[in-house]
Amino acid sequence: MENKSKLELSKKNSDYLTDLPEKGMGFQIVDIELINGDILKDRVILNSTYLKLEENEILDNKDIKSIRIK
Amino acid sequence: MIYKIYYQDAKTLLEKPETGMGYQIVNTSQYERTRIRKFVVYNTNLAVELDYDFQVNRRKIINEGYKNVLSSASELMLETDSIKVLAQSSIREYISLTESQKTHNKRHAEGKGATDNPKEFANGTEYFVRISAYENDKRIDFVNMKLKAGSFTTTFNDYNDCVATNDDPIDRYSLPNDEKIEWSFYIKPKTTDILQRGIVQPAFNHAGGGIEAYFEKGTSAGTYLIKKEYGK
Repeated sequence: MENKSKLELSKKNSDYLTDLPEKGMGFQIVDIELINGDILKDRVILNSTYLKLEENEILDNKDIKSIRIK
Repeated sequence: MIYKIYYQDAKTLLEKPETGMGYQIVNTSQYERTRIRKFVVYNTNLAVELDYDFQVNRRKIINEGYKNVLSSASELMLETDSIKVLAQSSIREYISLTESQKTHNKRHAEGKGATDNPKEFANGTEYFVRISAYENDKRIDFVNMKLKAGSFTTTFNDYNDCVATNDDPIDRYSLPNDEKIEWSFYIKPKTTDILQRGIVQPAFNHAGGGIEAYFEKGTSAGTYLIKKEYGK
């Protein structure tokens, strides 16, 4: 899988976040629950669409179970 | 460790000079203790000890937000006479913006973030600008021509200062983006629209200091005016 700096979220998750408040201009902070049970805490979402990935982090939309705004 | 500065000590710090925009680096001891410790104090209220865990704690503030961390931090009472604010020259590595730059760029040194300030009605004549790396900014409702609920902007005046002084918008507005800001969206709220305005707090390793305006319920239909290229 290609190593990227951000992941474009599914339309469903992006639409969900678009209706929730921002933390600052153009970004939101979220916790992400993965299918495998892991929780990614305090992650940055840009424009309710792009999840900023950590260096060398590989993640796909199919890995995401739920997103919770902080 | 992260601490909430005891109220009276915060008042003392407020009377002392800043080390940089929105923060002080101080040597001080805890109340009735003698060991001198070094802290970065943000907005005279939130202290992070300059120890091995400093970077971890600073990241916690960036991720969780100043207000949230402050509300859950343990209180720290200081030996008032021991408080000594360090000069910029002694802590160069922590300075991201010099005083001369700060003045030149017309940034704001003190004040709360927008969501910590009272709500106000728009005056119906003031313009606000939302900057973005994305032309399809999701916070603009292009159908109803309005700003969506829960969105931040800056004032036109502050945006204008940012552009006119060739300031870095990423640093001024403490944005987590590593992408170039390319777009600006102009909004003119109606007198029935409510906002909160404040000073952008340091975050994501940026100094902040711009003006931010938060529209909890968005703006009325027809208040979004135009999209322009950033700086045009």
